[in-house]
Parts: sequence; structure tokens; C-alpha cells
Amino acid sequence: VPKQPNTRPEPRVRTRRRSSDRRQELIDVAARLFASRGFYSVTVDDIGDAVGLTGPALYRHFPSKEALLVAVFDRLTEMWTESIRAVVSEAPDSRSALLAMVRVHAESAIEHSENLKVWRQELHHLPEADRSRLRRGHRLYVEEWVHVVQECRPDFTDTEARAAVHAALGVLQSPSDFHSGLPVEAIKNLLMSMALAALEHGTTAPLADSGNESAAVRSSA
Amino acid sequence: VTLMNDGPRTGTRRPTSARRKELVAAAAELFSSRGYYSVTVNDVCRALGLTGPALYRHFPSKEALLVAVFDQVIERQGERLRKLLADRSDPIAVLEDMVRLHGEFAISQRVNLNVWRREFQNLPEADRLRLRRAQRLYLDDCVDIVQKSRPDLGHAEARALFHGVTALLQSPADFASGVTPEPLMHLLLSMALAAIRKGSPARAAVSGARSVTD
Repeated sequence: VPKQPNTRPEPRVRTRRRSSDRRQELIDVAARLFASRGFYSVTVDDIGDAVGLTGPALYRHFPSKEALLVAVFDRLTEMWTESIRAVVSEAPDSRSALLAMVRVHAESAIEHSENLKVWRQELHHLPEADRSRLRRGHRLYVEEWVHVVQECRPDFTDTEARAAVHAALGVLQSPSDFHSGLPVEAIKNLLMSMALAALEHGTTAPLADSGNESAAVRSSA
Repeated sequence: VTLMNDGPRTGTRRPTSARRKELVAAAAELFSSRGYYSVTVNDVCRALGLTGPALYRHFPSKEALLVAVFDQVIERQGERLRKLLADRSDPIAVLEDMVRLHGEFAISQRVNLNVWRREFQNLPEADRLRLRRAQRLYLDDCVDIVQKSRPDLGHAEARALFHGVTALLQSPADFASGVTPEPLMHLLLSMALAAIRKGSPARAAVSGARSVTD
């Protein structure tokens, strides 16, 4: 189970092409630097320094810092989709699959909270082609979730499951909006338990019903 | 609770005239229905039968109008929350009403929320500070309500929890949901309430939440 999405398990294709290795290395380093110090305060030279490349050599791979950012986002979405597929294929049932997905996304969202913030702020400013590719990648990722959520919640329609997934992902990604100051384990557990409870108890039935039920749950707690 | 009673600061002035209020209301309506970026200053004027120059007397730019809309939206939301707190005392009823209020806000303002996310950084600093402050006061009141129903949570935990709930309720701003507004609202509210009741920073709670339906 790839618990640390930042460490790639192994190079998949084109292992022998140095140029693409370098490219991947640059993307990983950029993702790390953007995440730890913020996209806006990292310069192309910082990234070059970290991998031992000069500015011009780096520009051969990526014409701009923005291009690197797009590559980081591409990689993040790709990594999420790969991780989710891996944990889902290993899970014995859809419940466990859901739990594993929630964990993978929570961990990654906390680790990449800075990058997710930049994603939200910068997505609109990216070239149209990049934007639509990123959106498409993200949509595919969401569909992986919808599939598992529908197995756990056969009462949901397709669109309801999708809305519920977006809501759950919103919870898991909330550290990108707000720095809680809580220890990583605490915030991770908090967000995971919130997302799981929300996915399990969400219903399109009017609130009055769920209110009574939850009042009973509360008083028994 | 003093949400917007801080008096005029620098930057955008507070509404001073009926005309100003009319303009803000018309702009809020148009920004919500058609989106900030596709609405022109002339559109706002036309909605009120005014000319461009008349509007510029009140607002020097479309951005200034946007700030006034944000001010108004936050102010109204604060008023609603204060009314709720005055009308209700049972912690569970207050919590449910607050989540409903917060959810209705997220859905009715989803177009403006996107604009907020995109434009906030670019607003004049004085406006940013004032809006942030008003937002924080509102959120603090909401966190207090959460804590009354979850006394087991520390303040930082309750804050993190409420931010998670806010992200949950605002999620429709990110995508065009095919679910019609009413069922979508029920879905989001029930998800939010479940998250508030079950969210816990302790590891056991994660497996606990899972075992509920196992």
C-alpha cells in the first residue's frame, strides 16, 4: 500500500531515458519545494539548485515555473488515481476499500495542502489546454471514488454518489484552506472519521428524520 | 457579537444611501445568477435604469462593487446567525439550524464563493482585512456552537472540524452537480451533521466510524 504518495514505487516506463528520469526528479523536487515553502516564494533557481541543474538546463525540461506547476498537478492526480486503484484492488470488500481510499487521500491532502491551495488559486490562470487536461484527470479520479461509494451505498443514485464524493473530498482537503495547528495524526484521524461518517450517513431524505436518529445516537454516546 | 459594527475603515465605504444599497443588491443578484466575470458595470446600471457615471459616483470600479457585495453577504449571514442564537437555546437544535444556515449560504452563494476564492487575494488590503475579520467572527460563533454540542473536542479540534464541514458544504462550488437543489441540500446537511457528531482526532474513532455500518 503506497502510504506515502510522494515516494514513487518504481519507474514504470522509459526507465532508460535519462531525460525523463530528470524530468520526474524535477517534478518531485518542485512538488516538495512548492509544498514546503509555497509556489510563490520558490524560484526556478531554487529547484535547479536542489537537483544540481543550472537555470538554462532546467528550462530545457520546463519552459517556466508555471509549466512545472502543471506537471506537479498532473503528477498529483496521476498518483492519486494509481494509489486508489492499488488499494481498491487489494481491499477484501468495498468497506475496506472506502476506508483505504479515505486514508490515502487524507494523507496526501495533508502532505500536499500547500499545493492544493495553489491548485485552487492558480487553476483558472493556467492555459486552457492544461486546465482541461487537469480537470479530466481529476474527473477520472473522482469516478474511482464514485464506483466504490456506490458499492457501499447502493441507495445512492449516480449523481448523488458523485455529490457525496465531492463533499467528502472537500472535507479531506480542508487543510489546504486552513492550518489547524493540530498534530498530523490528530487532523488525519479527525478528517478521516468525518469523511467516513458523512459518506455513511448522508441521505437525501429531509433533515427531520436524520435529526431524530442522530439525537438518539448522541444521547447514547 | 459585533460582526459589522466596527464603523468605517479605510478602503471601501459602508453603504450610506438607499441608492448604494440598491446597487449592491442588484450587483449581488447579477453576480450570483450570471457570474462576476460576465457581468459588466453597465448591466448593473441597466438593472436599475441608471447610467454608468451615476454608478461610478458610488463605486469607482466593478471590484469595489464586488467588495460591497461580499460585505453585504457576510453581514447578512452574521445577522441570521445572531437571530438563530437569540431564538434557540437547545444545543442540538442550534447546531442543526446553524449547519442549515451555513449550508444554505454555501449553496445560494456558490457562484460568489468561487469569485471569492479567485479574487480575494487581489483585493485592496484594507478590504481584505475587514472581510477576513468579519468572516472570522462569524466562523468563531459557528465553532462555539459546535463545541457546545461536542464538549469532548478541544478548541483547535472544533475549529478544524468546522473548517472541514465548511469545505463539505461548499463542495458544490467546485462542480456542477446533477442533483436538484433540495435533495442536494438534504444530502449535504446530513453529511455535515454526521461529520460533526462522529469526527474525532482519536484513531479509534476512525475504525469506529467504519464499524457503524459493518
